[in-house]
Amino acid sequence: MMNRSERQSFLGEDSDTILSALRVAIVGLGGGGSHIVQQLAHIGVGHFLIMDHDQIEASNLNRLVGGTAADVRRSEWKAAIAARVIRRVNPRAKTIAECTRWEERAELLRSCDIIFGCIDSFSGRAELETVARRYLIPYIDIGMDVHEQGARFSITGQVALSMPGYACLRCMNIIRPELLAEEARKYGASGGKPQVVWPNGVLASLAVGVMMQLVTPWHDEHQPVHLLEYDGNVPEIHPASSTGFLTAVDCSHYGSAADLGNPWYGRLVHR
Amino acid sequence: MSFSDEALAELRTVCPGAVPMDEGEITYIYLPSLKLPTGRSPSEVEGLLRPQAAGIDGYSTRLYLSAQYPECGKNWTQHRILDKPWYTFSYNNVPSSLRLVEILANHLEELR
Amino acid sequence: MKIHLRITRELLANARSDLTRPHAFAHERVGFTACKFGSVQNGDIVILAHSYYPVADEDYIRDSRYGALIGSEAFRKAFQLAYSNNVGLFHTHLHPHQGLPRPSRIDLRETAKFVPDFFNVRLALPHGALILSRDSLSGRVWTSAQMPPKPISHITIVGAPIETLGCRK
Repeated sequence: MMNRSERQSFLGEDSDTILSALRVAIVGLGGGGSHIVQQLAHIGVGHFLIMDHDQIEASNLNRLVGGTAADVRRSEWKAAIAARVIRRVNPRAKTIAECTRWEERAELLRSCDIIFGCIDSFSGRAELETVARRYLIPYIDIGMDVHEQGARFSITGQVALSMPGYACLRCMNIIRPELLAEEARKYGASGGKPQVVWPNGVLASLAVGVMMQLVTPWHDEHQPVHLLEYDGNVPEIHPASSTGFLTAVDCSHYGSAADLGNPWYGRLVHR
Repeated sequence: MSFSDEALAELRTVCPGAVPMDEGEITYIYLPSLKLPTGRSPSEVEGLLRPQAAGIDGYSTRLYLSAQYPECGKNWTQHRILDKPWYTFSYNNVPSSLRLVEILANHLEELR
Repeated sequence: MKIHLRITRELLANARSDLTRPHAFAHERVGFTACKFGSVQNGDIVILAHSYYPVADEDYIRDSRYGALIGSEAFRKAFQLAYSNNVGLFHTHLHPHQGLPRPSRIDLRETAKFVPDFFNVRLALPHGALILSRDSLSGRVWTSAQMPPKPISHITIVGAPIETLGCRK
């Protein structure tokens, strides 16, 4: 009888071991994060840290993978839904499900190998990336947008890999001061924008692929990508023209020793 | 960003132990024991003063606290800075040209 | 307590490149890796390697009893680094073979002498020793000057691809 990972044996004879030992955090378990959780469970990731402070609402049902009408009736936590998805696909996976704001429990991220950021706010993504950089953890960010253009709409998105020694979200122009300022004017509220399941699925799949290229690469001549852009109208996906492929960059936003590790480690803190 | 010894010394008269700490290009001043205006509970918290605009939120200066006070201050948001959780409220236009102790006092005034 | 080291592929390559350069009389080279730290659950420690500092050519001492002997000036510079940048110091050298490097008797004896001195400069941070091989690395960590070192149990080389060494269980 075939085992669960025989169809992915092309990822290498150690891939099962690598994936089952891998610790992955998914922060934000809405339309993008819930897709990622499902795919990682199928692939055989062994350790999950899933974080979302929200409960499912009816308006999430159009895209939240694993969410059901019954979940909406009982206002189930998104983290509990994601944990259930994992358990049903791979009962051997270990899951830490946090129904709190990630900012409160970010110390749990320190032992992760990869962090996926699937949150709406730019300030949240910037701060999450900073935590990932502090602990030298590759950070994969996904973002999707529906823009109104007169009487028409366009769907766009991107998947970005931010890793020490390479460009960050600021270098890639995903985080910009004017976006942060506009968001702050709305007091950090960034939800309520149009969101639909199929672009989320495309972006989530791309993000998982970016991770797999890092942990179980399957082509030794294949250059990893670090910024993929999605045009949901054409539809088309391509590496960003200027910074698409992973090349070493002197990122000016990170790199100082002061930005590495826990700045309170070894300090006497008055409490 | 650096601060004069005098400015820090003055700040330390109201906040003993105040010390600058950098994250990226932003310098914060950590306030290990910040006393809140009378009547607020908890009455003493950790604080983080950002005495510059920083280009991250359109605020000229900002005060972050280790606890939030929903009964005062407006539009509280949560953040992760220097690898700790912090709360801040919406109160803009406290100029960075003021003395550090004045910037702090202005922000605390909003929590009376 | 488990100890986990994360080091970028680039930093590791830089260190290997320096440590394999010939020296006028020393058979081996030595450097220092500056590190920062964090605590994780259960009191385990994560070490983040920040930068590698080669020992300058002129700071080696000619002594045929040792593959490499460095003088007080090399240590003074290293101490200055630790103090100025608030980092932990990891003495770093290379064993020129493939596979997991293990400390020799001399490695164990000598590091036990000088690593505890690093605590005189940065008391509250761990310090230690790293050994690189051509394709692997290992290390030991002192969390205090008085206690014997603990091995680094798990290493992640961060880059494309990500590589993990050791056992984190």
